[in-house]
Amino acid sequence: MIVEFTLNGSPQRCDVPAHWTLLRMLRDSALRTDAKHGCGEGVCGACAVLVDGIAMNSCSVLAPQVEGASVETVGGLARGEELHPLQAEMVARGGVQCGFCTPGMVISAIEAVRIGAAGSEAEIRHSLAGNLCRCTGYGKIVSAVGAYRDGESPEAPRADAPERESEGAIGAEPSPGVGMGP
Amino acid sequence: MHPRPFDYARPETVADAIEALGAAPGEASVLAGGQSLIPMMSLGLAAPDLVVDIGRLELAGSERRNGTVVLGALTRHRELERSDELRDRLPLAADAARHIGNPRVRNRGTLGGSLSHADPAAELGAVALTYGGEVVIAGASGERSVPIADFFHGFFATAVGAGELLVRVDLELPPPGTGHGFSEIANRADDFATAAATALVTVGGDGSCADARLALAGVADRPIRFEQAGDLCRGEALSDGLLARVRRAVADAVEPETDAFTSAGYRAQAAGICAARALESAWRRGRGEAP
Repeated sequence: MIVEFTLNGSPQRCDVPAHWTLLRMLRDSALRTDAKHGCGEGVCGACAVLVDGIAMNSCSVLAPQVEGASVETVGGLARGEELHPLQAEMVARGGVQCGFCTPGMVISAIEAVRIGAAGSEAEIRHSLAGNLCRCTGYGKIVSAVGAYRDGESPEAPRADAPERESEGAIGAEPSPGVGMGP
Repeated sequence: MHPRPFDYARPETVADAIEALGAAPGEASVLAGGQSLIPMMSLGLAAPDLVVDIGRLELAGSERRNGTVVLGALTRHRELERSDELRDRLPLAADAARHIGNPRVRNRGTLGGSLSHADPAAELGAVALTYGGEVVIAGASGERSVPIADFFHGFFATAVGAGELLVRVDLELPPPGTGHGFSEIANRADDFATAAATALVTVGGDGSCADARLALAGVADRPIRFEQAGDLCRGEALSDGLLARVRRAVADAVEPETDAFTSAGYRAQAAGICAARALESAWRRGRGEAP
């Protein structure tokens, strides 16, 4: 069947079977692989996208359910080379290791901040429940979300950020906490 | 890790949905929020021949009507949790909804879907039993109402028959002076409940209990009312001794099964603890205190 929707602001038309999930349509028909296929059963959050502004696990939505809707993936957040402020915070604070959970984390956190469900660290953690990171990086992710909420500059040093040698793997400037191996 | 092929129907009216469900030659599944059905299809645990997507039906929204709150089947968990209006009217539902899945799941999952799916560990079944009221089911011959107390028939089984659709839920508002309490024990935050308890306590002028209602999830093949709660509590003052009696009575009364994660004995104790905690919160709120 034909599913017409808006993907990151552009009209999209996919010819997919009705039993395909939104995640499969995004990856295998629209060829946008930024939403990740983790568990495929609504537990890990790596496939989270915004549908009409509401965060959902795209593995748990059928493709035809987004007919006429606006779908935003993490890949639509940056403006050219300029990262979305939350993405910049994730990089600056070392909230990224292998990167597989990052798209879902960012989508979930953007919604949480937008609806006022990220007022404290406890609230951020509650809002990010269901987004699993297997690199054990939650502390830095939570810190990045808090900084994004506060509108802090990504470059601003934080008193509680650990002093570590950067491997220089992420971002142009070495930043505290970046490049930690497992 | 993908659903198997199925025929797909997206009716625009309840009548069309009933017709599609009735005409299905094989197994038909109703797709509401999809947060149980789609993962189950992806895992191969469900393989319907037809999926009837009711997302276009006008079954959302809620209204207050003669001492009840009428909730459309497509009321999402997120609305129960975050809508100021619904939280004000149904605070027990709001507290329980916060424990369902995770925020992405709650953004999609629906009240009607949860009740129809009838997972015995689901929080909203216990919530509905505690408030009481009716479930309205549409079928080929029109609508019928089923008391919530008679709605759950067993594991994933309800009063909704083949070719029928749950369209709304009428929850009875408790009398003024009633507090609510919710407590859950789970292996991980946001995981299925090992045990959960929901309580409504109506407090009299002297602070004693005028009425107490308690329901449990996760300890039987369906959510259950713990009917002894009223007899144990009515006329009594809130005390540690009373809470201990409730805890023991619940743990003695329930007969949960042992599963891969939890022994029956542990689950029974967890149910008793949840019951006492929920009851205490409800009682304190009923007295106008912090829980």
